[in-house]
Amino acid sequence: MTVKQLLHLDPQRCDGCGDCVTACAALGHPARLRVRSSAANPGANGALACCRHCERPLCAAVCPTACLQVGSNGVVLPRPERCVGCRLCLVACPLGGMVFDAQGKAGKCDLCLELGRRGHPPACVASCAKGALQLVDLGNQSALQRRALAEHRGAHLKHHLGGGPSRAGGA
Amino acid sequence: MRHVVLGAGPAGLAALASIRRADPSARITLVSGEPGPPYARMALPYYLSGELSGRLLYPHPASWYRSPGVELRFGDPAEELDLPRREVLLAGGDRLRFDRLLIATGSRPQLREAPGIHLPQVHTLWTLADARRLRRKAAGAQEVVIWGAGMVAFLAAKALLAPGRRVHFVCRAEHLLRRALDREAAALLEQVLEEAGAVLHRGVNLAEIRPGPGKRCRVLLTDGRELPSDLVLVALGVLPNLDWLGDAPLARRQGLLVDGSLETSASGVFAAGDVAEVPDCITGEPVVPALWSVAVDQGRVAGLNMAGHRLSCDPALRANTIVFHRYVVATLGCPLLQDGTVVHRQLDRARRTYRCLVLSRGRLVGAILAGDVTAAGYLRTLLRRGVRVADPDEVWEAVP
Repeated sequence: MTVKQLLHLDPQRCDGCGDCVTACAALGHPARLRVRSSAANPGANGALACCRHCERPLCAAVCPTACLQVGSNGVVLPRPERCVGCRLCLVACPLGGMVFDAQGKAGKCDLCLELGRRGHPPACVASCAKGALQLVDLGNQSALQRRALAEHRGAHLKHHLGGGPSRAGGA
Repeated sequence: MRHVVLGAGPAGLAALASIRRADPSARITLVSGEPGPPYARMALPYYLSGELSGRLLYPHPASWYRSPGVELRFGDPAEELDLPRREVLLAGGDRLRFDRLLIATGSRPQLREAPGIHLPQVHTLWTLADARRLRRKAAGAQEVVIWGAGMVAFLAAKALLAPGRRVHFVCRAEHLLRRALDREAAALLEQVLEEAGAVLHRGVNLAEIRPGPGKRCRVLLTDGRELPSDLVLVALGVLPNLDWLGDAPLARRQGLLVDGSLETSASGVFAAGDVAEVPDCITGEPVVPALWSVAVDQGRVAGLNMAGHRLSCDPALRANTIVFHRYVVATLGCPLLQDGTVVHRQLDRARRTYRCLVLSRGRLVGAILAGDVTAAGYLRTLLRRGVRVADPDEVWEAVP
């Protein structure tokens, strides 16, 4: 099952205020997203580091204790009681989606499922006064928009990966 | 198609999942030399230290294995490969016919002869049975000696360091984890370990183990010192489990030689995980990485190829984490390469953070992060792609 909605950051609208990060952390866990604004860092690449709920998540594949699972709604969720804190998921994820708490347990964005059930947007989206962070409904996108979104998933990587040949075998 | 998967570690289980996904009608026999359902070997130190309950060692419930066409043979190791007949002979006497075979028999601790090595105080930590035995033996142990200073030794120390107990490393090199870490990162890790009760004996080797006094034994070091010990752990690294193959005609050096699809020199016979010798992503040199993440990747690709796909496996990118309590170190690629490399180091002793990027001819070839490993996933991707790096600061700035 593929996830139906994804967080999307428009780095040009983002002014780097950090309200989203604060709002996420206010839910009682370390912030599960990091952002960098293009507008506030001229010349730099804007970026959102957060779980993108991959269809075949590398984090879950590598987890020795099967802590990370893809739920029926496509959202990748950890089962904290199984986490031993080895960080193999963190190393496997190119998108910076894994976050660890003070006890060394894995956490990650769950798109604020609990808030969603009560009809509210994710805390980070609600906190963004500039409208830079949005929860995008993948089902309503045209093919072109979907592709743009998919590319955006790895935008901060593309900054480096754009040029130069890849090593034999590729990623 | 009859598939036989030898080994129920990360490679074997990933292969089973792949074959099943690619060919739901496949008949698959999963063979494990160890009794009981497959468990996560990587989690054993956490089980031994009491951080993880025994039931959570099993990644999959029994129902995961139960599917049409899947047969389980646990506690019945493969003993012989009969290639002309395309059969595997199990220790219990059964013969398994195969069309496709995966050898994912993993590795075992490397042992070395030394006087006293067979004393009852001397153990290894590799299997669940070892961990269970050690749980009993370690209770009340105040002095533990670990022979070795690599990853296996570190994991043993991680499991056994506890309040009221001293853990001695007998380390031939000048620092711990000399194949994974540079001096700077090792020093930070050593400091954390020492604060938790580890004692490092550098530049020495174990000479002999003598019984007594009482239930203890004495470990004699090559510099003449003597360490009284309740428990001795032999942790000198691992060797691929290939002895069972005898003189079966499969090309091998350190491990089984495989092509890009992970097929060995025998048609239809694949190898993955700690038994496979594969090119290193950075150097291109043949290596047996013996790493969990590499085994998962190879198991997945081997399984798909056994089911009829033609996929090429990515060259092995060495990436590993070293976690002690809340202190984390990540080592990525080949950070210890010497030849013509330029190393950019940033060390903050007060905050106990360290990061280094190793460049060779303008390309990133390795990295070490200590204290803060947030950038590990990003760097791993840059290493995989062999990107050009003009300015190391630019790399750090690119990590959100």
